[in-house]
Amino acid sequence: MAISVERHIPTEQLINAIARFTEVQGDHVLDIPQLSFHSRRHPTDSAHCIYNLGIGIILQGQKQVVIGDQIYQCSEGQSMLTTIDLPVTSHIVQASPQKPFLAVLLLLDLQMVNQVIADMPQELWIESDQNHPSFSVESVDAALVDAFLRLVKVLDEPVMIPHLVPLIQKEIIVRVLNGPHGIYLRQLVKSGSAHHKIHQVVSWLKHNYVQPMRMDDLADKAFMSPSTFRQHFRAVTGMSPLQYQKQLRLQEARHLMFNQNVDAGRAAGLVGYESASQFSREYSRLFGESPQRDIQRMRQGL
Amino acid sequence: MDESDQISERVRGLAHRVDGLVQIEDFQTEISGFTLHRRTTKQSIHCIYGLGLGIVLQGQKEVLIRDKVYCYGAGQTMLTTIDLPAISRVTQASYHEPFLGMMLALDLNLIIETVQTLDEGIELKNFPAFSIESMDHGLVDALTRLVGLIEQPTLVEQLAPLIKQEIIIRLLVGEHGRYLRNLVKAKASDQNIFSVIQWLRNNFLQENCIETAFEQANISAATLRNHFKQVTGMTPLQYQKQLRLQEARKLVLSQAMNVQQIADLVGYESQSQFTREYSRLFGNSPSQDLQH
Repeated sequence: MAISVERHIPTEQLINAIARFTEVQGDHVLDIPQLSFHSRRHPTDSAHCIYNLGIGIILQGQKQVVIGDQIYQCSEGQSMLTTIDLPVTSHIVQASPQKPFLAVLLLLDLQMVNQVIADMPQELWIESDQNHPSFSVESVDAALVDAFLRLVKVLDEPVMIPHLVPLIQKEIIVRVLNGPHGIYLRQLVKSGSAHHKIHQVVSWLKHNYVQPMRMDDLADKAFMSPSTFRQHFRAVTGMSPLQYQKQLRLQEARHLMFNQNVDAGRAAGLVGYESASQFSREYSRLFGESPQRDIQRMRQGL
Repeated sequence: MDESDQISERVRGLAHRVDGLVQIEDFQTEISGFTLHRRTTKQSIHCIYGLGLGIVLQGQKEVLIRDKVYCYGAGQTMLTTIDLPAISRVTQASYHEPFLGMMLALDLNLIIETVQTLDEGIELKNFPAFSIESMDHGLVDALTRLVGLIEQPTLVEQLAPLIKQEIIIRLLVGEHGRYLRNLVKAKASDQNIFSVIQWLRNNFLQENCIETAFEQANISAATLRNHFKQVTGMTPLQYQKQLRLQEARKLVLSQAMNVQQIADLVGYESQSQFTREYSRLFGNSPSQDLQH
């Protein structure tokens, strides 16, 4: 058993390093397109979005993430890993002008993850037959924060971005794989694993959510019986295939109405609803208000 | 605190860490091609530098290449790009403040790959085979992480290649950069000088080895001689002599032969000439060294 050494976690340094990018609240992407900084000065209402493969660190404040019927609390000093694209509802719980909510997020490249895992020494593989959820919250360690800190500092040396960013991204993947999130990330690429198969179905669903969904077809794609498929799908994504598809449809409809000025009836049809009243009902249940009022409120909020 | 003070501070921190890790004078770490060195007394060693980076963290050392002395101390690095016989002498070391240094062998293929991703072009000129420069923040930081990895053996295999690649990038964009770039360009555009050096390095005990090496190169002897001098700082004959005398030194220290046999083996016809040249280079005569 290794002796654990108390090591200072340099989150303070990371907060200072991103301070000049996060003075204005909002989501900021600079010269490293995979890296974003997030700051909020007040608690927020629920936001609906899709989380992609990536690792984020909460540096200050707290946020709540709802996936299916699971609620996750993510507080400062914790990191969150998403391995499969997930429709989530999240809101900032703790934030103030004195102590804003602050987070950094790095999107990971699946191919790079695959490559790093392939290069990993076999003896470090921890086999697990369990299906782990594709969203996990763990404490950060000093090495991970340090790697993020170096990634942020590369912004000061723009000529080095194309050379150093891929190295630091790989290092972050190595650190994640060897840390508490490791089992979650590894299962993503374990070919033949249920997780891997569900991942493929999810990728298909993301592009084909408009089509009517037949459970038997999806189960076939995963080479599973419908009941096994349903069970694995829920273990991995936290929701049923139908809920997953519904969230994708409703988020897309909201996006179409808000950004493209499409009316509710047309949006419903475009995302695959046959009945406008069913659309309206399900929309209200997810976003809290009818489509028209929700969009009106969002416009006023701007 | 200005930037150079900050760097000195970090170098001191790194020296302290290395001091805690070095168990013997020359310590091979778990990371391939990466060694740590500690000396409590001033001493000289004869060695042949390959492609690599020498780093001094505490104390000072002198490197004698042919007849020139180059000095480098804490916070400085020496990049050597070609097999170069040299005498390396620790000039500042004590029991309380030992000399502390590190050596990192560099992989030529990795350098070539990396150079291709950097764009600036630099005119190819003949270049000295080494350069001495002060470290910047980026390099100290990468080296500190490499040293830190020694204590995390399970991550060595996964992280050491990333840090080594970062070090090469840092060297290429830093002060050592033009030497490294020149090396790569010279390798690509003019194989002659490198193949001659390589060949001599492996065949220096053969009779007429210089002539043979020159015949193999597709270039006039005068040009090659000129080029050779610019790259290594010595003539082919001097280069061969250094290699032979260093080989002799090894044999002397192994105590397995007498002076005549050693002189013969490394290609001297006259034992008195051998004794003279050996003494001039190493300070003691071969028979004195044999009696030790």
